[in-house]
Formats: sequence, structure tokens, C-alpha cells
Amino acid sequence: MSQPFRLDHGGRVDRDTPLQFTFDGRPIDAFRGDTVASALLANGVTLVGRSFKYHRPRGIVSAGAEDPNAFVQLGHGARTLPNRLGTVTAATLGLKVRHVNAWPNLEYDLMSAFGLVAPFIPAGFYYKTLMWPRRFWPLYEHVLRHAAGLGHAPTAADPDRYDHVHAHCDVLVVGAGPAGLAAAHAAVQSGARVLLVDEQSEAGGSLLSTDERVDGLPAPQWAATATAELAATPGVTVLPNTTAFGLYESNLVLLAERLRTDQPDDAGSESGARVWRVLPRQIVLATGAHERPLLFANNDRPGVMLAGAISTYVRRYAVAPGSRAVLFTNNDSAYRTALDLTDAGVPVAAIADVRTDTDGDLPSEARAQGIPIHAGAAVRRAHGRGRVAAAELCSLDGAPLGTVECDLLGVSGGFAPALHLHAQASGPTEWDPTLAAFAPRPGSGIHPAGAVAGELDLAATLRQGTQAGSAAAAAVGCSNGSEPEVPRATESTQAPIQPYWLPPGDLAGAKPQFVDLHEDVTLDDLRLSLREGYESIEHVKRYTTLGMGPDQGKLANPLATGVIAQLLGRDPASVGTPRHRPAYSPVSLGAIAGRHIGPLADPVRVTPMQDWHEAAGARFENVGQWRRAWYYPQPGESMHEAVARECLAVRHRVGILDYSTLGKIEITGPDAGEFLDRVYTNAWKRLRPGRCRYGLMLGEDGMIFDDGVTARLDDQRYLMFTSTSNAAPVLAWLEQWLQTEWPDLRVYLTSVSEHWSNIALAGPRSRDVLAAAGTDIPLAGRDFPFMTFREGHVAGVPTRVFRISFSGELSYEINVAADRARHVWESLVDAGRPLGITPYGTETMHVLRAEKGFIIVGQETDGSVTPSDVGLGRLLSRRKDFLGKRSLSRPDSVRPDRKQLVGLLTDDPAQVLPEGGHVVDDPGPQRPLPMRGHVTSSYVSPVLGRSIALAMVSGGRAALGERLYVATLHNDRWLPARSCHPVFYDPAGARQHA
Amino acid sequence: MPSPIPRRSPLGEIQSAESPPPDGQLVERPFLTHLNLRLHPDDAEALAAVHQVIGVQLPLTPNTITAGGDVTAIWLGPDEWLLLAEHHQSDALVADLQDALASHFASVVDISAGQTVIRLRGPSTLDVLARGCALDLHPTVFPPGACAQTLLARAQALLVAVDDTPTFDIVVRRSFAPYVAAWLEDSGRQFGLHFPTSDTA
Amino acid sequence: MLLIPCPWCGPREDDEFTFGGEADFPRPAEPEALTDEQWADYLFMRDNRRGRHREQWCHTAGCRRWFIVERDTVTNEILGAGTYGGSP
Ligand SMILES: [Zn+2]
Repeated sequence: MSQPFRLDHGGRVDRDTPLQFTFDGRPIDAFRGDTVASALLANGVTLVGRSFKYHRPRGIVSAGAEDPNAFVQLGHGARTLPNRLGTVTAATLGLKVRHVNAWPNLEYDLMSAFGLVAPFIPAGFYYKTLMWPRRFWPLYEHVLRHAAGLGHAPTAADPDRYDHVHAHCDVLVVGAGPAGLAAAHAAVQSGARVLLVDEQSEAGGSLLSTDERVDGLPAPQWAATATAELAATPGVTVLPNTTAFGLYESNLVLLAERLRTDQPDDAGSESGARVWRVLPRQIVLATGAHERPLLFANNDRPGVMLAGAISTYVRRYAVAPGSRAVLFTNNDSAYRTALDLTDAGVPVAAIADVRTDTDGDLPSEARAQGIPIHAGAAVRRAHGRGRVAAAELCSLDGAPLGTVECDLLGVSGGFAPALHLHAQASGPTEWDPTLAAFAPRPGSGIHPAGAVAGELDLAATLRQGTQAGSAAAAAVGCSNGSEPEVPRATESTQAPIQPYWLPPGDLAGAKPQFVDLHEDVTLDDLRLSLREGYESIEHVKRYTTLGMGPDQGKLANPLATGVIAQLLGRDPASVGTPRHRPAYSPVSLGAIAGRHIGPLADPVRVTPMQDWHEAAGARFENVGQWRRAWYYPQPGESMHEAVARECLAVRHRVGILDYSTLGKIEITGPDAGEFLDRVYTNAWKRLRPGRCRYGLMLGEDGMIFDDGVTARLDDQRYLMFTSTSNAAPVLAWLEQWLQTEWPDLRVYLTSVSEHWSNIALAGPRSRDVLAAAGTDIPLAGRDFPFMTFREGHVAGVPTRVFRISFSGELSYEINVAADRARHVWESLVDAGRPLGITPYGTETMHVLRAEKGFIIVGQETDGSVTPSDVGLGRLLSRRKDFLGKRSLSRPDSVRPDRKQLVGLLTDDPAQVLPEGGHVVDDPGPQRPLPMRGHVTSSYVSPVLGRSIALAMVSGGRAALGERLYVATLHNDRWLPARSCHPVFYDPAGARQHA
Repeated sequence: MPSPIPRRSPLGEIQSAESPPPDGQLVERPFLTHLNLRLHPDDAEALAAVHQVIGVQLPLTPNTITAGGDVTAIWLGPDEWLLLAEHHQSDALVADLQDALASHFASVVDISAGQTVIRLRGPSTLDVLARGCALDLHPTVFPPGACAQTLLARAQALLVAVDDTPTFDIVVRRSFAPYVAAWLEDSGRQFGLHFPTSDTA
Repeated sequence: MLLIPCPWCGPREDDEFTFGGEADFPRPAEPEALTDEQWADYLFMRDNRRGRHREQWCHTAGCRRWFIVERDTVTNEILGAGTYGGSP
């Protein structure tokens, strides 16, 4: 038989389904139902890793999520998963498991030389030692990273998809042990919608590793029956392999479900994990407890295990984790382990119990089995290098009691409630002196039950679970009127534990004694931290890295609280624990991202002309979530060449632009004009129907918020255009004023941004194109003048055509319902082909408007710019109030040295200024240089045959023509320029009126 | 006079007289009439006038719909509704409503081209929606006739529980429709759901 | 995650909402009549209370209504919500 430590009978493993996986390439035989850890133990593999700092050999400590050592790397290639716990990972056929923390290999670990040279690196070593000399940091970092191990991330993109699901229930039960099963059962009886989750592959928790009976059945059998019944009940969901890893405000709970655990090499395979986002109305917390380790020298040796874990391996997995055991305890539970081992034929050579009174039921039973019991005794030191070989016993005053040979040393320091979830959301906790641990108090909507509530007796746990389940159901109004039945088990009594934190007297001097096995934090480190004044548990944590490993200090922190309390001579209640934070156990980043990756990472918004742009070879740029055509390069053309061609086409012939992304708001009601008067700086009531006007919108601080054209559709209806990126903010802003300040105004706002596509024709031939495409709108200048709109058909489709211009050319913006926009676009392109119509993108649009000195909100403005700053003071009405008006007369708003919009022309017309470049008077030697302003827009202007720029320059408008210099990214290279009026082309505006 | 130019839906459907009504578990319901209606809920005369035109009472209970004839009225806010109509020409319905409400403070705006409806039907409907919607859509909480404006994945959406098949209509804005459709297909893959057109695409 | 009770739609997750700052800072009726200091007070100064706090929220992804929430800024407990007019 290849599994020398597998027991002949018993356990929950399926001996008819053998399977094989590999550990560091070595084949490991296992059965279905094994975890990686139980299979390794069955094969006599005790060394699973090297420690983080000292590279000491480390073995499996626990049988659950609290293990500090059993981190392994699963799978390979793009699907590899680092830092998975072998104690909760199901053993599956073909799974590739590797150690994470030894180099070059586990048996011969070079890095343990680190441990030999500097046997114990004091806490704070990294901060103190590796700060200097700084130039060695890359070397330190390289060596330390290599040394630190902690697994490695995949280097290729994850091929898997991960699922996310929202779920709701009346009662979420976390943990399917005795308390959780009883609670779920009771809640279901009351008619509640129940979600029951458990991190293990099989429900039952502690029931799976006890020989007790429930309702007359062996406990594991009762658990299986109860679970099957629940799963078959409508309205109940049972999720095994699912860890509740985070509890947040409003009792939002995040679950990570591991999927497809039966597949070979399942680590991260298709839908390797699913994250559930649960909003339960009530929570039953049945998360159990973690056994506490005990301090003695070399307490980190492989073979030192939690006593309860030994029972679990023996009873649930039919594995003897050793061949001769010693147990060290401060409570009764280790005696049950002693009996389990004896049952399994593993001799127990001694039990050291720090208590002097060892006459309880369980100790008496152990004594009756002939197990030597040392009362008032402790383990002083473990012997053995790669594995425990013996335990050195002594009395609590230090008197030697002999050295007992063993390869298994079980420890039990009592049980600390697994209150992590509860505490993550700041649920109330309190120090329970009978447990010598913090326990949760019921929080809002949270019902702790079972071991997490400090209840260690099975019968009482079942009772408490039942009560919690029905209380949770009752809290959401579910009840069937009768008392739920409590599953029955034999009552037992246990003697109280005796807290044992710090070995007494000179026992405490034996070294090294590990408090945190994962982070290699020793008792001496805690002493050093306190000596240096870091007494708060949060400071101790940061100074020593206590609890900062991927195990989150599940075993270390409850121990550290007691140790620190004793070292400081304080009450543990006042020491507290480090803040608990999600995630309870590692969750892969892919699972957190879910399906929000690749094309689904964020919505990509496109216009009805998207396909056409793509077919025309457009390059795109992202404008918020919009994808907009940027420019349309012809074969072999650079961006610069394409933009120049597009610009000249608009200036000399005609161009066509998809401007559908503009925000559009219909403003309706008898007070619409009054409303516009209040939100825009200029006057609106007297605008005649059929006409358009440019408007500026300010924040109450007087700074430009948005701009755009608004048209009066009829007496009581206006259509407002907003900038693309401000479409949603402007609507929210207008609604806020209407709803909260001016509810008396009879105005309704409706977004029509998506209903109307907008196609801009610009250039001297745009009128001809519109005519050629076919329209019933009279186009002659006197019939359809600048800043008016007309309704009619274009290419057979109803439209609203606006004669407005963002290019300074004769221009029409054609609003057409989006479902026929593509037809109108194509008709215009066809009609314009003989006239040389050229599609142009956002880059050309920007060049054309910059040539005209038109601002773009968010480019020339940045939330600190008033209308006067950009030369639009003429739009400020003196005769009415408007939002932001009062701020314009604040002293700061009228400072003569405010930054003002100017044009900049470089001395060398071929030089293009960098956008964002600082503007100074004189780049002389003085430092820091006084700033005059910054470049906001800068382009090559094809029609002018030179570069142009817009800039915000302090006091710039009064000093047009002055000599200025613009910084570049190259040291001390300054570009000389002269300021000028910001309208570079057609300053009289004749072209747009053509 | 109706325009002879065919309409294109956000998900690429092209309107034609012959095309059969969409059938399947995941389909677009293109080319419906969508009207945004605003009026004060205390204006009983206006409510009655609308009832007269569309044949159903406007729902005054938040997050519910009323349906009858070929118009569905969906609550969007205390003074705001979406009217979805199957067979109407939107221009005619807008005109009728505007006439009926001429003497009232009200607004009727055609937004038909600005949004579309995606219909999800069948046993996996709730499972698919649960992948991106944080609301509890269980029939005890969200029965047929309930509606909600909320987030579906990262897009705003209006969900309407149509019947207990279950069938849900998802109203989304035009530019978000391709994203929502891709997202629904991705979420629905594990349940074998896809749009009919994606077979050939 | 904060569940915010929209008076119209009931409790919804916070990502459906936009925060609008402290409530009860009405716009002065005649801004031009105010001194610079009084105007700056309206513009910039907020109480930022510890404990009970009245604030504006908009159900942006839902019914688009602005409403008032009373929230304890220490515990984040929501103590009540009210509309700017009308009731469901
Ligand atoms: Zn709402």
C-alpha cells in the first residue's frame, strides 16, 4: 500500500475512487474525499514548505482555513493559482501541487542559510537594515523577493471566465457545522428563504470528525441527511466549497465558490470560481472556532499540530498524522484527540496539561486507557530538525519531567471563535473569560451560534443553532407558529480551560517560540516591539508583521492578544485584536474581476454610424465611454497627414462629422424661458422660436461648467445641447435646481441625447451637399440664416437642421432620429462625393475650432475659469440674476492678473508647443521660475501653414504681442512665442455667415 | 406620411413588413414606440385625458406598470412615465397626447429611436439577470407588473417583469445596447442563451 | 456598501445614487444684496456634523428624484428619508 499512514478503515474518504496527483512532481496517491493535506499526511509527507523569513521547515498544522503553513501553488501555466491552502483544497486527479516557499527545492533550501547566518532576524530588521545604502535596494529586493516565496503569479493572461452572481435570502447561514445545520433547518421550518454556505466540500463541519451521535445517528450520517433534506427544499440553496470571505456595511456578504473540483487540474479551469454577492435580511454566523496553538521552543517543527486537527485527520480522513504522539493542552478537548488516536492504534506517550485539576470525564477516560498524564506540566521544547522527534516536558516551575520520543505533538490552547466576518463589519465583540478569547455579541441582523458563540458542547450547540435559526426567521416575519425541534445529542460537561499564554519563568527563555508561523514572528519579536514602545496591538502588528500573511493571522492573533496582555500586565480585553479585514482567505483576482474584463470591462458606447466609420478605416478615440471616430487615414497616410487633409477639405470644400454624442435635453413648460434665464448667463425669454443661441452655464462659484447651443422649438419648448462628456452631469445639475430650489417653476426636462443623432456638414460646399442629398428645406441664406434651425426632410427622412458652426465655416448640424441616421449619413456622403466631401474626426474638429479660438470646456477651462477669463464677458447679462453671477464680483474673480485666454504663435512656425507646457516670461537662471500660465491647446493649422496654440496666461489679454517662453519636457529647452488674439482664422466671422 | 426609409435598431435589426415577430429566449424587441410622458400626478384631468388616449390608467404606484390594449405604461418617477406601444406610429400617438394635454402642464417626448427593449424569457431568466442586477427579482418580491430602473452590470436599465414564465423586458439606451447585449450573452452562455442573430454572425 | 432608502423606490445600493452634499442650504433670494463674506458663507461653508446629518441624494440610476436622507455620520445608520414634495 502506497499510503503508509492511511488507517485501514473508517473515515469519509471513498476508498473505491483512488486518484493520483503530484506534489513537487512526486506522485501522491489519494482517495476521493481527501484534501491535498490529508493525502500528503497519508503518504507520510510532513514537510510542505519553508517559512517566510527563516526558511525553517514547516508542516501541516490544521485541517482547515486557519493553517499558516500549508500554502501551495496549484496548477501550472496561465491557470496556476498561488497561495492556496492544501488543507481546504480537494485532492483531484492529475492536480499539480508545488511548494511555494523554498529555493531551489524543499529538502535542500539555500535560503535557510539566511537562518543559519542570522539565526533570528529581529522585528523591524527590514526597516532598520535595508534602508541604506540605497543603491543596494535593487539587490535586496531581488534576494528578498526570491526568498520570500509566497508563490508566483501566472505570467500569461488568465484564459478563464469567472462568474458573479447577486443573491438575496431571508437568512444566510455561514457554516454548515452542527450549529449551522440546525439553524438552517429551523429557519426553513419557519418558511424563510435560506442560503447555507460552507467552505468545505462536504457539509457537517465538526460533525464529520466526531464519534458522537445526533438524533440517534452517527454524526456524519445525520449531517449528510440534514443537508440533503435542506438541498431538496424549495427556497433553500446549499453551497459547499464556498467561503464567506467578506462582510460589509448593510450586511452585504461576499462568497467565493470554488467550482469543478472533480476535474483534473481544476485550478482555475473554465469558471474556476464564482463570487456571490449576497444581501441577506438576517445572518446566522456559525463559523466555528479555531484552536489556539501554544508556545514552547521549536513549536514550529513539522509534526506539531493542533489537537483537533489530529482528530479530524484520524476520524474524517482515516489518516494517522504520526506514529507516536504527545499532547500538550490547557483544556479537556485534547483528551478526545488522545482517545481518537488510541482508537486508531496510534500510541499516546504522554499528555502534558498545564492544569493541576485533570479529573473531568474526558481526562478520566484517557487515564483509564493507560495514557500517562502530567498535570501542571508543559512542553518546554520540541526536539528534532526536519520533524519532531521528541518533546521535552517540565513542570510549570521549570523542573524537568523527562524527554518523550514522538513524531506527533498535538497542542490545544483552547478555542478562539472565528469571528472574523462579524468583526470585519465592526460587529460588536467582547472578551469572554471562560474562553479566554474574544466572542461576537449579536449585532444588527447577526445571530452567532455554536463554537463562534463560545459553545463547545454538541448538544448545546444544536440547541443554540436552532434558536438562532428561528430567531433570524422571526426577525423577517417568518414563523410557522410552532417551536422548531432541536436535534438531540448527549450532553457532556467539560472542565474549564486555564489560559496559558507565556511559558512561566525560565521556560519563556527557550528559543525560538513562534507566535505567527507564517510571518515568522517570535515571542522575542513581540518583546522587542513592546520594549521599543509599540504597545498597541495595531503597532505590534505593523512593527513585527504579526498576522500580515495570507493566513491573516487566524492562529497567531488570538494567541498574541494573550501574550501581549501578559507581557504588559494588562487585561486581554484592553489589548484587543488587530482589525479584521476582508478577505477571510485568499480570493483570486480573476474571481473578484468577474466578467468585467476585456470588452465587458466597461460599456463602450457607439453611434449608429459606428459600422460605417470602421469600414472607412477610422481610428477611434475614447471620450468617456463613447468611442468616437478620431481621424480617417487613407492607405499610407500618417495621422498628421490625414488630419491636415481633413482640415483643408472642410476649409476649402466640405467635410462631414458624426457629432451624435452631444448631450441633448428637451426643456418643456410655461416657465422654460425663465428657467434658462436662471441657469445660463445670457437672456433667453426673448429668443424667437426657430432661432438658436450659444449659452454658458456656470457653477455657483462663477466658474464655467458647460457651454452649448440651445434652440427655441416653440413657445414652451427648447432643445439644449451639452458637451459630450457633460451630458449626464448637466441634466443632474438642472434637475437638482428644479427639484430642490425651484419646484414652483413649471418645467420638465427630458434627455433626448440618444434619440437624435447629429451629423455635421461643414465647409463652403455644405449647402450644395445638403441640396444634392434632397431636402424640402429652403437653403438660401436669407431663408435659413446663421443661428436658426428648420424642420424638414433630408434624404427622405424627417430632420431638424441647425445652422450653427463649431468650425467657423458654413455649416449645418442635422438632427435625425437615430434609427434612420445611418441612411441620412450615407445619403449625404453619396451626394457629396462629386463635391469632394471628406469625413473628418474629432482631431480635425479640434484643430478647426482652435483656429477659430472656440473653447472646449475641460480643455481651455478646468473649473477655475470665469467667462471673462476666456473673453466671453459679453455673454453675462446685467439685467437678471443667474447661477454663479454673484461670484463674478468676488475680489478674486476680478483680479487683473487672472489667467486669460490668448493665442500663442511660436517664433518657428514649424514648432508645435506641448499642451500643458508652462508659460513663463523669461527662462532665466532664477528658480523657481514665476509661472505666467499654461498651454491648453496646440496644433498644426494646415490652412495657416503653421503651428497655433491657445493658452491661459496671467494678465494675458492686456499684453497681447508680448514675448513668452514655453517649457518642454527636455531640460532647459524653452520655445519662444508671442501672444496674440485667440482667433487665428477669419476673425470677422464672415465664413460661417456665408 | 410614414417615411419609406427602413429603420435600424441598435442591435442591427432592419425594419421590414415581412419580418416575423421575434421569438426566442433572448431577443431584441425593436421599433416599438417609446414616449416619455411628464405630468403632475395630482392633475386628475390630465390623467383622465391620457387614459382616454392610451386606454390604460397611468400607474401611480412607484415601480409598477399598467398594460392594456397595445400600450404599456411604466412608472419612471412620481411625475414621469414611459409609454411603450406596439403598433402605433409614434408621431400620431405624440400628436394625440399633445392635443389631449394641450391645456395642461405636461410634456410628451418621442424617444423611440433612443432606446430599445431586450426580452429575456424562460427558466434561466432570473439566473441570468442575477449576474448583473443587484435587485431581488424573486417573484414574491418582484412579481409580474413590477418594474425598476436600476443598474444592469455597468449600464442603466429599466427592468419590467412581464409574466411568470418568467419573462423580463429590459429597456436600455441605444448606445448601451451592444454592451448590454454582449453582457447578457456572456452571462447566459452557461444556460445556453444567445441572440438568434449570433448564430450566423 | 450603503443601502439608501429612496422614498419612491425603496432601499437600493449606493451605486445607484449621486451624493448632493449637505441639505438645507437654500440659495439666497437676492445674491446681489449679500456681502462677499455672506455669499462665500453660502458658497463654501458647511456644518459637516458628527452624528445626525441631513444630506441630499439623487436616485440617478433610478427615478432621478432628489431627496433628503438623515444619516448618522459616525455609524452610517440611516435615520430617515424625505422627499422634496409629494409622497409615494
Ligand atoms: Zn428612486
